[in-house]
Amino acid sequence: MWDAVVVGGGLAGWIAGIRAAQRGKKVLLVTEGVGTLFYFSGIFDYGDVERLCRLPKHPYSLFKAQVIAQGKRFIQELCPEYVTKDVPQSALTVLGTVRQGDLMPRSMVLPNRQEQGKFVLLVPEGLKDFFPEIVADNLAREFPGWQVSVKRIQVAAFAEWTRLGKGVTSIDYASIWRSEEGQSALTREIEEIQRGSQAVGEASSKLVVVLPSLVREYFDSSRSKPCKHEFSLPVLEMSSFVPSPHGRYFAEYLKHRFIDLGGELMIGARAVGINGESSSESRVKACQELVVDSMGKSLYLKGKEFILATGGLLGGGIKVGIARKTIREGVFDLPLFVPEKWSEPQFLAPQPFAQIGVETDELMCPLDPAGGQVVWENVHVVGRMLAHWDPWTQRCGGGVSVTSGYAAAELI
Amino acid sequence: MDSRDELATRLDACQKCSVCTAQCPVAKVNPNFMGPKGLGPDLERFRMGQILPAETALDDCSNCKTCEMTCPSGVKITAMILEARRAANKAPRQNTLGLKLRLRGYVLGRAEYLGKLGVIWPAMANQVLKVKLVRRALDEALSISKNGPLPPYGKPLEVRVDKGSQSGISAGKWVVYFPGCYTRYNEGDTGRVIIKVLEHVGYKTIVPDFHCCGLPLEANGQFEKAHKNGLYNLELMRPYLEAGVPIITSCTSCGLTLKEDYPKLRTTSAQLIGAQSYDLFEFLGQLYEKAELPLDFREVKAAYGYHPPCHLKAQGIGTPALRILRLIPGVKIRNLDAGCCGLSGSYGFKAEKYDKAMKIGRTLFEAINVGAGRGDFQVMMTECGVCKVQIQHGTGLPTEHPVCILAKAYRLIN
Amino acid sequence: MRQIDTQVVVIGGGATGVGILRDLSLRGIPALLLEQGDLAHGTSSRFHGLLHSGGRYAVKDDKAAQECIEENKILKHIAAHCIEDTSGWFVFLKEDDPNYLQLWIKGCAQAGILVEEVPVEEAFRLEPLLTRQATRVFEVPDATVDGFKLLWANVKSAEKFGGTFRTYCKVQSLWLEEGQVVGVYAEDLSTGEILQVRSKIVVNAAGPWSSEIVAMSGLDVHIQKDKGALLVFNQRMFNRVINRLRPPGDGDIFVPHETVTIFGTTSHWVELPDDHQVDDQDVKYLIATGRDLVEELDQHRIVRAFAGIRPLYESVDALDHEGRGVSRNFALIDHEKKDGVGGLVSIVGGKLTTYRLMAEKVTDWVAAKLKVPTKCRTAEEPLQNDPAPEVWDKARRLLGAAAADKMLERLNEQAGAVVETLARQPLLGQFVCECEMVTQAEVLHALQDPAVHSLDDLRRQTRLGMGTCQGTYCTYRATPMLQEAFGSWERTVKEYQILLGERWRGITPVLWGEQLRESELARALFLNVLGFEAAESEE
Repeated sequence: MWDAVVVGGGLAGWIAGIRAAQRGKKVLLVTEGVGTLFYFSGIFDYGDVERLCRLPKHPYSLFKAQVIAQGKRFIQELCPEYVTKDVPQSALTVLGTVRQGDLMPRSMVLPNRQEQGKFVLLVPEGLKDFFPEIVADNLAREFPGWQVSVKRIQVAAFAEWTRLGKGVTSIDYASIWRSEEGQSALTREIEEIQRGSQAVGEASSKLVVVLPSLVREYFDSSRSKPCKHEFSLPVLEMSSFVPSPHGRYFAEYLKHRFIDLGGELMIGARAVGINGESSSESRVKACQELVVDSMGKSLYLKGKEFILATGGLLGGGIKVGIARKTIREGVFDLPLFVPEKWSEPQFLAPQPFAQIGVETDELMCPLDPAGGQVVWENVHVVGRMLAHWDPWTQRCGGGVSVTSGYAAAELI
Repeated sequence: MDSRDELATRLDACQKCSVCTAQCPVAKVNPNFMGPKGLGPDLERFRMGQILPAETALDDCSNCKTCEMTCPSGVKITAMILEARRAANKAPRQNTLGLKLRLRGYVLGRAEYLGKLGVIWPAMANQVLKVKLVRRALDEALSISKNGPLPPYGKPLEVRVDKGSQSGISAGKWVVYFPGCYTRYNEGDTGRVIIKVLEHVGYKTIVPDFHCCGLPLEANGQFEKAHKNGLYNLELMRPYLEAGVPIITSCTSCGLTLKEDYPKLRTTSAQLIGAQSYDLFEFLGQLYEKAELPLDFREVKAAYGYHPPCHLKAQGIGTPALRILRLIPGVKIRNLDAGCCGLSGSYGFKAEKYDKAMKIGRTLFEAINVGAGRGDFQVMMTECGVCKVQIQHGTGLPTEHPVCILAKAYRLIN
Repeated sequence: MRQIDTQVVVIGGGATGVGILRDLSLRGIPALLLEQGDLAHGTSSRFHGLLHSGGRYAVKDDKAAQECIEENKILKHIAAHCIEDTSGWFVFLKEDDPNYLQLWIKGCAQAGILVEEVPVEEAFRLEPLLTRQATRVFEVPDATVDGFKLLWANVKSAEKFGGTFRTYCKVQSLWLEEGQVVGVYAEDLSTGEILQVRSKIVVNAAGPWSSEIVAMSGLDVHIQKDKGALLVFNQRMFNRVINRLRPPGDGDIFVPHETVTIFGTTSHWVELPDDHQVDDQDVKYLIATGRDLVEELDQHRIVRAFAGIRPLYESVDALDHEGRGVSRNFALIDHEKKDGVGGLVSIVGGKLTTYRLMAEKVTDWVAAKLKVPTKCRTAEEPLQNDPAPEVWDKARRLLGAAAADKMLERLNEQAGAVVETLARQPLLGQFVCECEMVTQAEVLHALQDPAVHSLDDLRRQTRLGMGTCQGTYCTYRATPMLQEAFGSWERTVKEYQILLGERWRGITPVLWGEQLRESELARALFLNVLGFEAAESEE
């Protein structure tokens, strides 16, 4: 019997699992795959929290203000390189355009535009899905008055790839930068850049090196040899195309934090249902067991409390059948809020279907939208499974997932 | 063999997110490898129109199943690649492996028979296999790497079919043990420990004369023989399956094969094997849940690093060994969960794949060395015989099957 | 304004128009084809993809059936690389009408369509998705045709013989002198330039727009615009065309097309020639009907829906100036005879399968008018030459068997140039579109074609974005090539939005299941990872 069974290994699920394990609970996390974490840009978006709080039934309205702040601090404890300010910070997308974010690695925060300087864009040879000319152009446009130069670099490890005409993914380059070979190569390059600028009498204090595919965060000293973090010049990280190295290393890091705290991970298992019964006093049901399809058989996992983090439409937690005749939450068969209108003709506009999900009370227990009563007393719904929000157009994906996951873990 | 329908449904679930390829251990080290997305769901849509890749392109897949575990959509990627291999094997233009590699496949797929040979005089066989000249000859003739950690043979595990058990079986106190070729021919001692432990927890063990589970055969393109073995093994198990006797595996690859592939065979007992097949610790875990597991442990003051084998993860049962072993006072286990060891059955023994296999294992080796360096543990622990061999080869750290710790706690061994 | 002199202007870059251009060029008659959008902008890119054996018409119209099977054979000879000779089945279900079955068998025999019965058990083995309610199955020489490839092959061939064509060139008015048509005025939509084209004959092959063209001179040709919706399934569900053996109706054909399956269709009359919006009703109806042939239809992913307009021509009084004697299925309207306006001829009706025949009839008429004695050769002369075996081998070595085979299927004659590029710059062998295995080299090659004006045009040429993900990833991967070709970041972003908008129009009618998931992923990618601005909602 576990204290908490977390269903779904996405951002909200992992945060809930780690926090609950940290609090000394016996936690099992069941997940079919790795979720959308591999699409993580490295940046947690919280959005305009005050405004979103006031939208009817937005998930932010479920939490007290301090929980949101606690969630942010939790991330910073997990990942000490993350910084946040009262105002949004800026970082580079993979296209070299500027985007805002709330909680991001120090190394991604863009320098002040007003301070004129020079960017040196380091371009690893054969880096896939990265377009140096476009990035350099966009960078120059976003930072008027700044110089932008492009320098190509090679590492011996990928010579064979280049020779064969194969691109190297950003994740593979990221892993090299985290190794001795990569660090030496980078140190050499950066020193060379510094020497070069000194030779022409430039003030090297103005230089900012930009290196796509570099990820210096999520370092696990119990499993990896020491990694160099600082170079003689400031080195800026940028978001990558997907699957992203920030996402991949962050997902790995969360998994390791979880199991190191004693959590058990069951991967490759799909939750398909539950066994529960009503408690005697209230007529609210309490869930006893999670039914999971593992290879060849079903498993019955007993838990005191359950956290549903199955990721909504994208995660597969909500399935919409052909011609929208059936719309179902796949584990508890929870009643769902389904918007009247389904889609907008403009692709990038707020899409009504994105609001689909489970409505909950302040304890994040699922409600029946028809009557307003709690359906399960020991089940908490987090992340994308919550109704009435859109992570992409409201720019609050990270914020809602982290906060809801953290809040649920506090309730175990 | 997968039905087209089952694969087809899962194919539709592919979102082209490419996370499988991002996690694929082979794609990281082999620039020529198209990756699981490319060879699996991408190519499957073309394979339906009879456009096939060459066998050599598909042969680089190590069958580790990391892609399937990673996929957020439940796509059966490895199964698709295996289907493609079956098709390419038969198609004349794609049939590109060549005589030497086909012969190698024949030999390596039949590890069982090599085992039977090796245990006739294990000491001699092991000596011969240590001779550099012999290894070089194998490399030249069959492309079996001269550097690969070929596991030594030992006293084989005996077949135990209690005649009395046939008639007097109740589902209660019997189990059938499927040891797998590694335990049977290379590490019989571990098999004997397992039988002792099972007896201690109240179960008598039957060990029928099984053939190889079939996985090395499939991995080496010997599909027909794998199929035959499956039918044969299922037939041996039939009376026990019908009587409700659990089938226990201690090697995670055999365990996966029994749970995933055997239920698809066209024979009556195939429907029963999935639900009645258990990894050893999964079985012990069930006993624990029912409060039937003896908890008479003595203290075992020892620290271990644990490596969950890829094929254990693929079974979707979590890490049952840890659940049980953490009940033993004094035992400290660090679950490293640091990726694939690289050997992947017979994969890393192949001459052209050995270096890549060692590269694949690098992250794991590093995690082990860092952990050992910090003094967290000096011994490793893992269920899979091949992972064990690779870990010892890559780090030098001694590695045990988790059952040994339990046996120590039960005072069955020192 | 630019002045161009030619003998014949062909209005409309659909199958009929390009067929006419080619036939004229082969006979040495200088001609210019003007198309308002991209080639196959209209019906020719919005149809089933079926190369009829004629089986569908065997009962209702045996002459049409005969025309179909004859052209079917000819096209398989001259356009082999655009056609996949899949063969087709007519499937008779338990509930269907046995009388019709008898009529059908007789009708096929009469029309000369080869029919072979397939034992039902064998049929189920060969096509596991076929409904078990099928009681009899008959094989016919149906095939599938890639409309776009076919049209491109025609214009490329025409160019070799001196024909010219311009896309994104919209005819604004007919040029009349003394009540006779002497040419056209057209606008080059990409530059705004006006073209004044003088000709002896203007051929109106504008399909659904035929009425609009002749109306420019106050004339009338009544085209019934009949909209048909089609669904695209993510996989190749069948390896053959599957027809329902019953009187031709809606939702009774499944056509495998490369890696997808096209299923349809429906029929209702609309007003506008470019009303391509798919109605929800049509989608629901198609799904319900489709279940008759595929019991497990609900399990299969639909990637998008699209619609095309069939330009039907029904003349009340079939007078000879409408050339009814030529065929019961298409009409050649000599406007001098009908309306007293010389220099203009319209070709209306017909189906893609018989495009070459229609083109032959028109060209015969034009050649007679211009006193050119050369006879038609289009039935004998192949559209393209197959690439040499060395090209195949080299491609396979560079790209691997599967990707090479796909590329050569797409490019055919043009493949040689792309293979050379790949040999010189191996990095260009990386895929832009992984779903359809389209390499960077191929995209760059397509961008060199002056007729490619947008990402959407590129999509038709290379199949970029036509696969499962419907452009989610390849749009990004094509960015540097776009920017290079079209010049500015603003333009690139606009192209993204246009292409995504185009894909979205096709996805919204089928927005559920796995395609809904894919759409959510695409939103995450563009709005979050790439940082695009959210658009305003329409309320």
